[in-house]
Amino acid sequence: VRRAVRIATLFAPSLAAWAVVHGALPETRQDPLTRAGVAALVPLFCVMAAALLVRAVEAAGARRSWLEALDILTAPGRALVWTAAVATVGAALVGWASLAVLGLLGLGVVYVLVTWTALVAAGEEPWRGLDVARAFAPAIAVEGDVVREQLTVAGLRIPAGFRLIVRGGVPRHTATAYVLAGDAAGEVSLEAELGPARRGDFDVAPAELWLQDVFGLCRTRVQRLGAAHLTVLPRTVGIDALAAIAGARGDDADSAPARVLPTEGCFRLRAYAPGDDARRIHWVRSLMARELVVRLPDELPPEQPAVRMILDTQLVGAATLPTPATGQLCDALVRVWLSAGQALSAAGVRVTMVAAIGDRVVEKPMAPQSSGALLKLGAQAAWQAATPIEALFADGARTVIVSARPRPLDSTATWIVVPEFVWTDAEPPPLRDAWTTLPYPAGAADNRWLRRRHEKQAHERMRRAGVVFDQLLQWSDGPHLEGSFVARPRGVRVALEAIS
Amino acid sequence: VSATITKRMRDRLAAPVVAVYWGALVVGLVLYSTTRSDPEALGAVWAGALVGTALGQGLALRNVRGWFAAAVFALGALVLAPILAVGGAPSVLWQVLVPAALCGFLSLGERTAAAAFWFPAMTCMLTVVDRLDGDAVEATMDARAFVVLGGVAAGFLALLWTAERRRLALFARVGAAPVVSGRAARLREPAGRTVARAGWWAAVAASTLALTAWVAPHLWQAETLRGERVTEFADGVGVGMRGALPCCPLVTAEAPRVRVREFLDVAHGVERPPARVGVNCLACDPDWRLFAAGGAGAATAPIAATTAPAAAAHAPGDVAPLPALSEAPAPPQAPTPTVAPPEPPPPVPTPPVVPAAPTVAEPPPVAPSPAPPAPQPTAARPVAAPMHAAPPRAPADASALVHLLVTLLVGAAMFVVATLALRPLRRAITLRHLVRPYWAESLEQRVSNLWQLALVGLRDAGWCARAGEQPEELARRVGVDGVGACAAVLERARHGLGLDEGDLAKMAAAADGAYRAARVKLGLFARAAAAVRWPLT
Repeated sequence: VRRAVRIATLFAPSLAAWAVVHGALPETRQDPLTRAGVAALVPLFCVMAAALLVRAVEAAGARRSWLEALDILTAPGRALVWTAAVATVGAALVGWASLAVLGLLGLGVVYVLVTWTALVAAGEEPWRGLDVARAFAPAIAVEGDVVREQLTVAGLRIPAGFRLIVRGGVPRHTATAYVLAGDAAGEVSLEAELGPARRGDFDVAPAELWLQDVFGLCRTRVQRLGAAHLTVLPRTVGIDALAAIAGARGDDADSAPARVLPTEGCFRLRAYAPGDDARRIHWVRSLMARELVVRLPDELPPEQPAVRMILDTQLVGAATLPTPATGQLCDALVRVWLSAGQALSAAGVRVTMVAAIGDRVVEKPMAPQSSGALLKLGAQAAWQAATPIEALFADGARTVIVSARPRPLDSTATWIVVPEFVWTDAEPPPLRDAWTTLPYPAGAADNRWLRRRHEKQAHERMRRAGVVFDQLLQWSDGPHLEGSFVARPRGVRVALEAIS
Repeated sequence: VSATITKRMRDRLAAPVVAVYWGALVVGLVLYSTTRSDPEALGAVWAGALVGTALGQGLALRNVRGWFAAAVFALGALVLAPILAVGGAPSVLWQVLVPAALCGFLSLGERTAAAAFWFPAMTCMLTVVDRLDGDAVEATMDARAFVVLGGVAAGFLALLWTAERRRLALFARVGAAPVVSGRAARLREPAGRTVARAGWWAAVAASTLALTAWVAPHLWQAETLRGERVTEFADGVGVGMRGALPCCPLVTAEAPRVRVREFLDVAHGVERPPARVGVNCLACDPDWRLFAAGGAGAATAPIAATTAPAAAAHAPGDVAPLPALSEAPAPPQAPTPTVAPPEPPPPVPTPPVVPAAPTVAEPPPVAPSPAPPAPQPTAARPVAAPMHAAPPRAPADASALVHLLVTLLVGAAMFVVATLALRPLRRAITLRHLVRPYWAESLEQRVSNLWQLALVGLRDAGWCARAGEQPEELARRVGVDGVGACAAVLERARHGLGLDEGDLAKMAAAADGAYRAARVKLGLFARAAAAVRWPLT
């Protein structure tokens, strides 16, 4: 219905104004006016209608909405049509010459530009041969880095009197907007800073491109070109008081003796000395050396303690909640998970990183050569509901779970709790408009009542989602928290505080 | 102000809109001022327009809501109106101030800039309609009116353009969702874009102006006002005696004015001769429309209706001076040359001469009386008829200013044409210097010159060097023969490696080759566009 009203704006106000003018003027003046109107406006009106009709038929032939081809007036364009029509009617009723001039100027500009738009821009011609290449610099970013969006538009043909508007951006980052004047044609490079990168593996939707005349009255339909991919790796940070994790169960000093017999393996050799155990004589070497050679058992180091570091991202419903807190908390979980794993590994602990990515369980040992793969794994981590945390356990392994929601489990585990209220931004207050001032600078489109209402509704949805997220993450005390830790930010590092 | 836009940037974005609006307003006021001679009303119009516009735009720049701005206007009017009225401020001040403030406020709105243009357009239209005959607008529209109307159309388009630029800048910076504005760099541009853009602008402006000038005057409406009271000799009818000679009687009547209706009640319009029943018009019957339709009346229907009060200023057939005049009687003057010398009344009087009224349909000549009118009793008294000078009405003529504006426009156009015509010469001189310097230059400078020559050729073909793009990168991107060799020599020169005359000769050959290779596919139009392009790279 709204689209139909927008399309009707092309014709209805001017025809209504024309009817009112005819009714209001005395008969003696109607003939000259009719002659002038028929001679000046009707041909333009016919050309405009014909051009729009051709575009509508063209769209229907291309299996697109023919209404979309007619919906070419922007909000300022529709406002101008109504303003001009009202001014024309006013000129007929009150007779002010300036109203007549304003009305005719407005209608003339709109008719000319709608005709021009329908003739040169509303079809496929400007987009034929257009190639949009989209990339990000750096291609693989690290959380917190400044990321730039780069678009290269080749084969660009902006018709005279038009601007090209490009709207891009990446989810969880700022949107980008580019305005290209008519002199930008051929090949154009566009670049915008997206701000600090946020962790994730993003399939970036194509950029939206459309043409709009220089007066902002008409526009073409939106073209979507230039899909891309961006990977932002998590940034690991230092962990304070990490030794407590390894010693949480009190068995960090226990070594696992190597099960190697004296007859096995290859050890240090020396010449036989009286009193040596005869079983230690290395007969093969003795024959080669033509003297008795014995092998000595070297000292066997105790095995490194092993830890299974689990990332707990199981939370039903969190993935669809429209609140930034979900992303912020997931970022924090991944950051703590990877940082703790790296720190433990550096301390001599054998760490196996375990996470549920999508609907599969991924295990990778934390080693220098696998850090890149683990970071990519961290980039892909997101809230999921398919894999329960029990599926990530292994028999007999010491388990450390990085979670925002500790809960009783059958198995014994050490929790590193990442509290939601510490790692996410505070809930914004409800949007309240000032009585006397606009929320945005005068002239901004987002001051419109309808947009503002949508914004308030979206804000309210976000706030409610934040509350739901809070409730989903509520956790209670219990024996399962014995020996667990809370991760808190401390500057650029993370501090672990034992729950006592 | 949102987080992504500062107050300074907000004001900077609004500056072009404000400048265009004020430009149109001030031009309209200046033109209007040249046609007026009443300083008090003129000052009120200026004060109301300027103060109102500043107030409205100031409130808009403070992001004030519409209802609050309206409340401020109303409150200000309520408080100040009595004070200014006591001080003798003319009512036109408020008539101007309120719409000026309203339109100033709307000029910075998202979709209201066009509506806001009504006020500057109205000030310009005061000059356009000032001398127009409301009943024959098309006939009395002169070049001056078309020039001003063209200026109004240009101002309207300029305001729409600047308002849209501001809207787009705000779109790219502020909003419910965080958004950043990106930068664009041209890598390759087809030739002739500037010409196409200029042609488009000219076509849109011309077609809009033509539509407006063609149709809008038909919507203008005439209004007839009580005119000035004038006293003049009766036409060709000699009665009364002055000394031994008969003198013509004086007639005092109101000369109605017909003008185009406008918001401000200040236009002069065209003065019509006083209606004299039996001389230049007939007495209106109750069903006067029949006269109008039949063309028998002295004026068209609306005029006949509104001139009725003027015609009633004197009784039908009354050709004697009206006694009740407030002004002091002027000393007797010699009859004006337009009056026939006093002679004995001819046996057959000449038909009455209607004073010039070029735009009014001439009524059918009134049948001359077969006999001279009978002398009136008052005319027989031996006193000179009082003669009153017509009230001073010396409105200034704006034609000189308009001529000046036209001269300036023509001069500007000639300057542009001359500049364009000289550009090929400028280009030839520059290219000659790049190839063979007019004065001695260092080896490195000559290498740089030759690189510029290659860049000029690439620019002719539409290739643009990106900011920060290295010569080797550019050479790889464009793939034009010779550019790579030029880039190699230039890199050596930039890094201070030794160059000799051989390198220079190699560079010269490569640059010349690149210049030619880049331009080899250019058509005639592209070559012509390149010849007038500036800057060259």
